[in-house]
Amino acid sequence: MTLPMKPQPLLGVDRLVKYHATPAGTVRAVDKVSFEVMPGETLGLVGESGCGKSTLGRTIVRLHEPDDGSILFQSNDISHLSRKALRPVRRHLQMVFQDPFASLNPRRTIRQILTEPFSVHGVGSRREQIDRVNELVSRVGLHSDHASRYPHELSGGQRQRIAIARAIALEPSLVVCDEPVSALDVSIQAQIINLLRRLQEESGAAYLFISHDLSVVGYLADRIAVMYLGEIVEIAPKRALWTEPLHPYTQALFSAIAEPLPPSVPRRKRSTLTGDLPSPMHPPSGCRFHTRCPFAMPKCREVAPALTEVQAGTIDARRVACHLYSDTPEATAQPSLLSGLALPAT
Amino acid sequence: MMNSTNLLTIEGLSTEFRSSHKQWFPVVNRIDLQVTVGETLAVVGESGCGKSMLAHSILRLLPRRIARNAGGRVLLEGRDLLALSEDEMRGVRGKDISMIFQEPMTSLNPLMTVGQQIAESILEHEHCSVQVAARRTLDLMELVGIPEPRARFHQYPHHLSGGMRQRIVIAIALACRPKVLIADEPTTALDVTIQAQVLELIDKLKRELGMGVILITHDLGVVAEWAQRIMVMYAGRKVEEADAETFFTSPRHPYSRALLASVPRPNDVMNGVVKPLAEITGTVPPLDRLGGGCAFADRCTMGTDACRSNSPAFRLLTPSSGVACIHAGN
Repeated sequence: MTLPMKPQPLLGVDRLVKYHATPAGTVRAVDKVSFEVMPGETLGLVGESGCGKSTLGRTIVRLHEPDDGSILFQSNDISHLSRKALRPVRRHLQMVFQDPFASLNPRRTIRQILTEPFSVHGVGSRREQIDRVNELVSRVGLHSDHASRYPHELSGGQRQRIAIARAIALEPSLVVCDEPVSALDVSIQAQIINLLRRLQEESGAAYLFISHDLSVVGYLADRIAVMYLGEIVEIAPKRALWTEPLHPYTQALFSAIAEPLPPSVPRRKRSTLTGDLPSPMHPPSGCRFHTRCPFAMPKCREVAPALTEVQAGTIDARRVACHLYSDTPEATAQPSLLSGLALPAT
Repeated sequence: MMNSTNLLTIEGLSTEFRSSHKQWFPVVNRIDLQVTVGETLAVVGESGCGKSMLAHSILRLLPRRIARNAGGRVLLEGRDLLALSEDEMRGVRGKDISMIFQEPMTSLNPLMTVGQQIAESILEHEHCSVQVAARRTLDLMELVGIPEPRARFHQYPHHLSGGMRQRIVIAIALACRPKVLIADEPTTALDVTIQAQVLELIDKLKRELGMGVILITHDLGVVAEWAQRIMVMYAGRKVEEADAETFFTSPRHPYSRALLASVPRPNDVMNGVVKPLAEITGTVPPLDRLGGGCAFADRCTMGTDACRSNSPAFRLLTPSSGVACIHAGN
């Protein structure tokens, strides 16, 4: 069997582990997570608070030291590079944070903040740097007057524009965006979302877009990964996930979206979850979701399901970690098995 | 919009704040609203539009040093709350009108067990024995869906998850069977799956106890699923009011339309439609520097000189819906 040349992934995360030691115990924030990001695509990463999505993002850009596993970026293993060796990598791998006020130095002007990436990486002469900063300010939709101001003189939306400008200054190939619009009002959210899309069209950068807001992720992402208690439970093309979520947790998550439509328009049937998120210090045995899963079987309590490919060869091909879909000897589940299941969210 | 089952009727309520230059300026500006039995009225708008100030004004919770009432009436079953003494008002809060705040951790006392806190609010308003209060506390905890209420009774807020804490806050708010519940962004700090649980709970209790609910939120999706009527606020004023069906099928105020167009639509995602989101240029103007005209005029696609010179009055378009915009309804 000959396969067509597969494009090389930009980012390959393989069985990545990050535990946080706390006085109360070890939090298994990221537990053997594997996925890939292709050049130019947007991978959305969703999950509820405490599921480990922010830790995963921060570990990938090496703000946290990984405990195990590997991070392959542009085919280089960056998981254990020293600070010095990381420096040239950081040009291509950037991050935008949720709170633009906390991520901008309050004692520097916008011009100083935006000049820093160029001076740190020795890009361009003094003169060229000034031009590049002016260009950046206008690319993110601000006026050149803004460059001489301090962060506190800007609104939340304007500050997030500056944080984005700093991230894209050196034309990175991957930007990790951690809840970049969550702190903003809806009308400002739309401005920033449109800006991120426009910049991606211009630069071809890939995004790892982390958010708890499924509508925003649905709008921006090409593929979506769903995290629960430190693990990815389903990763699929956006439309496949929206039209037919397979994992019971994904189903519950998507059925909980409140849509701004007239009350007379029929809604998805809500599959309300019972109970709370278990502690990430003591995740449940077997499938971590079994304590809240409406379809839990005895097996789910004992055996952790692997993230396996289902519906292979169709446009809805995806990977899901659930025993409902992995009963057959081969990893690929049969369509007949799928059609026999009562899925409440579809 | 008058109705015999009106619980709460607010007429021309205005609240002013004092600026750092010792000038008084309006943060709640001549608001009229009604809440009827079994109804959820959503108050919608972005941060700084005055929706929380409205809630605090109804319950008279604003500090007198920086805020003052500047007219209007707040009638709870005909009794004007603004005319009550502070002592009388204390009897109304938590008894006739209760409020739930956004962040459950800050509205609970970290040094008291959750059971004590619920019982306290019963004992505050009703003459009953501690034993009776404790028994009613357990009933309330069961009512709001707390598993193993007997064990949870003796736990402190930090032992509970965010969703469970918000349930405790709701139990406290409902302890004396209030007629009106004001919920100020009750689920904003919660995850989506927990958010649905909490809103379902509020809705169920509203129907069972025959309350009226004022739901303050910026989330239009939540509004569409849980509110029967919607009031949109901008810069301290009511700019639109309508029933949910009318509002989501044909919003009339340009601000309402812009808000609805600026949120990503799950339906569009499913159908593969991805067009740029509508942006509202600029930001909400600072309330202490409002001019005479429509406060939205500078961000409005329909803004004209007429909009900037005169503040548009709120006018009814149908018996149950109205708008404050000179361009709407034509």
